[in-house]
Amino acid sequence: MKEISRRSFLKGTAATGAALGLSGSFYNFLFSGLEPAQASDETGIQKFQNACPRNCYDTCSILSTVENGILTKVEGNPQNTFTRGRLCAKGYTYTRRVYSPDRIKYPMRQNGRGSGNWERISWDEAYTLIAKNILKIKKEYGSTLPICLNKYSGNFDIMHYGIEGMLSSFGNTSRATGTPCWPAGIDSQTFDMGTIVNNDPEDLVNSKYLILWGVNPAWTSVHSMYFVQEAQRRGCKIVAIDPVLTQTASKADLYLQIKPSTDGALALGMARYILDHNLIDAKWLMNNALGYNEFFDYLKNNITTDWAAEKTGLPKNVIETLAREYATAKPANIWIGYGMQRHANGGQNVRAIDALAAITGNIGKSGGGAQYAHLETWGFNYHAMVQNKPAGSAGSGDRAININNFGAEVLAAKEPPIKMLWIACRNPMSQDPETSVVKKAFEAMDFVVTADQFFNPSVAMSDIVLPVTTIFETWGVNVSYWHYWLCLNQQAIKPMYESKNDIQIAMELSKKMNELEPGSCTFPTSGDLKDWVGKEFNTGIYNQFGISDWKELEKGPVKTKAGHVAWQDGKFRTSSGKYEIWSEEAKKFGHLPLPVYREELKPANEYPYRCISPHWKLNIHSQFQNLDWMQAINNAPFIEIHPETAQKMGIQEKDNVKMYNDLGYIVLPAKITETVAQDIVVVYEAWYKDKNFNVNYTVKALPADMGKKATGMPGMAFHDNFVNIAKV
Amino acid sequence: MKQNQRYNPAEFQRKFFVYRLLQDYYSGCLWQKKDNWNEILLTLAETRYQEEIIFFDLGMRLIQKLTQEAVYDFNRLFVGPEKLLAPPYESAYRNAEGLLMQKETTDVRKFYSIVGLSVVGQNREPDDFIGLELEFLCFLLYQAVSCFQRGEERADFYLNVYFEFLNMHLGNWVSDHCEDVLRHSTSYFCKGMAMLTKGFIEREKSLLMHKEEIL
Repeated sequence: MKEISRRSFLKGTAATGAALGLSGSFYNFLFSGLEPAQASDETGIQKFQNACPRNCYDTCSILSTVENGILTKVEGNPQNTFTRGRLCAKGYTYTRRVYSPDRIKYPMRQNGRGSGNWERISWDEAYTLIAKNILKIKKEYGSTLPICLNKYSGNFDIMHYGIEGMLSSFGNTSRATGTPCWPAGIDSQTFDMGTIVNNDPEDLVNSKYLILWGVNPAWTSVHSMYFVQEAQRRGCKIVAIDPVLTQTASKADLYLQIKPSTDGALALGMARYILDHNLIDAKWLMNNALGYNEFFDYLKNNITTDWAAEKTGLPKNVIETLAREYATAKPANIWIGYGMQRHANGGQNVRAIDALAAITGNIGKSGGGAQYAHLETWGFNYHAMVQNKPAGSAGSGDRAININNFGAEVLAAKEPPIKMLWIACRNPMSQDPETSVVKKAFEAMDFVVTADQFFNPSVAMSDIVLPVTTIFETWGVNVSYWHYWLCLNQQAIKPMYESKNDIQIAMELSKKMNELEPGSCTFPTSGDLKDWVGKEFNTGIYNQFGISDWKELEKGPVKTKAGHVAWQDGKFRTSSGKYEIWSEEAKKFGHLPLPVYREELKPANEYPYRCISPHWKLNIHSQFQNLDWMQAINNAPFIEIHPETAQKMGIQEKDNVKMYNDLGYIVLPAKITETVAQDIVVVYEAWYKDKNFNVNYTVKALPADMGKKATGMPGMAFHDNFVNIAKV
Repeated sequence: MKQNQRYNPAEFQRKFFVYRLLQDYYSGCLWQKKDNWNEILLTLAETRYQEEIIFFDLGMRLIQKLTQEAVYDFNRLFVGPEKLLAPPYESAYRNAEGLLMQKETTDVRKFYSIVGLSVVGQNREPDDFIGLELEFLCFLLYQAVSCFQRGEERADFYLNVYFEFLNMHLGNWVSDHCEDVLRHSTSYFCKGMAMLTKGFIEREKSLLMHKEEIL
């Protein structure tokens, strides 16, 4: 009986299986995900050139090993004499990033921003939805200005500037403008010297005296640390100046725990001592500088080492010894970190430090200098970025939205308002100050598109998420803002799942927009990404690096042939061609022409502690911390508090501490440590996956003093965040 | 067992139906079949697995309605974009560090190549995606029964590979995976499908103990 019923079942389902549309029927096996094996070109072991494109000094040259089409290993490329065959802890996790089960795999649509109700959609559906929204906005508002791009440093590959190009190809749009990282310091050096240029960091070994001023390379530029320590081995004295006793400071010969934001006072006090003791390089100044007499007058009339000692919290004799040692060791070098300029007086402080290097004649010398950063090797064509706007585009140009006050400026934008966000290479919901305002801005939009590799708080507030490729799955080209190497990024493996390069996305979206409204988007609708890398090169780059074709980079990275000592030729790029201690240009931007002291911000009564939020060793902003190896080491934020402060507040190790100000609060466990001063707390600016808060919930969008000239917007005073703490 | 019972086509047929259903489910194309879901349920009932497998029975009770909530739940469990609550990949469970495309994945790839198969667009989708493993098992059954009907000896080879793969791969992790679904799922539907999957695969695996009798 049973047998019969099964036979009838067999008969029945052979037909119904097909009728129901299940994949195939018993007599007709239809393959869906499998197929008879094809000959594959992905066999054996292959090596590829890759480049780490993150916002980091080191921009490492990577050698990737691919076995049968699978990325099995990443290592530092020994051909690069700066990165010297090693990666950092973060870099070694790259295989984890590519093959993490948590990667964003497919285009998806969220039904209700922040609801977590996601549906998988096809790329075609995604393009159609996006294109229709863009065209609708253009029709309704008469221009594409209501569309705002927030893209920055998640990927510094040159071709990725094509994301800006994509927005240009729609018409005039709104753009998050400026940079949160380093603008105040850039402006300072631009006023002083005309632009930023640093000595080749491999030249650090030639220093006799090295001040690491507000920089922590042991965590944030591990390859530079080799050169720092090699210099030390050769007899160079290493001085670390930092409000926090960092890993770098622990390796220094002298550590000075300065009061935050008073670096200019220290530099000026040192300058006064150097002047008084006739340790200046008068010849260098006469030949190369303007305004030094006015500067010396200022020092004589306004600055004393007693004042500097009071301001900085450092003993007068220490300041004097430091000044004497710095001025007499030749050559002496200062590395100015980005941390120390994230203050309301950060730019002015950098100018004062630059002036120290100038009056001692250390600029333009091997082993000397005032190192900050450079953009000397960035002279690409920006072929992907430079796109024409469609004929007849309304509006008189793109509209700048301050990246450092993004939420408020998006909400405040009028005529036309901002209605759509495109987020790429960025996670503003974690990295911007005033997170709750940023969230309001996301909520106020009609449409939000985010392109990313992993789910994060910005993706959570999006309507559409698009999966993007990792560096191993696409082409690119990278240079550094610190070292002088050029590195090709080869496609090593196929893109996993349905991920695409942002430029591929731009091409395909352009195709869709032109289908729906011919002429609405100028971005090329097709192109080979490898060819597009080639289109970024020009003879200037070829000459600078001593190559005749970019394909030579397939053999390995190359270094510039010359220019490894900044300003060696004495030709400063200021309007006078001199080093301008007195800067008329600074005056034009509303600053005092001399590097005089600008008062630091001080804590108010109800918020007596300064919260510093420096970089953490296991992340770059909101990248890497979400990967398992990093999480295995540390998977939760904490607050560093001095033992005396902790005792005063009744806080013990691992107690939950509420850190608050008038913006908001966060609660996190205490780490009691003497590495911070009594009036300072430290919370690292990492995004921790699965944590619905980070330190930026308490950070005000307070501008640094400088940045507008070089980057369009002032920098961010991340470290002028005053808070109170309480045990909870 | 007698020769003609070993390759009972009706027995293979009902397995085939369940494999295809599970494969379509994990591939995300079940949602397009909302309109004939009731008909699919009727056919599923005809397999009468619910009479033998308690989990299958429980599962069937939970999957009566295919709701939009189930779609969202399904995506949270298996698709993204958030961290997957029950990753549908063997290596996520069996690789010591939960990483995809490692030895566990290439071992599966080797199995596919034994019978001359590979993943469409290899190296884009992990070979050990559950949908592919289900498709592979279904294919092996299909080949076994086809060979048998043609009187080819190779039928035994396919059945051997079938049990080998079940034993070394899908059968080794699918229970953990289904437990994850049951732990994190917020919909009756996905919970039901997890029970169905768990019950069915565990039963298939248990047949391995009687493999000598079957073969």
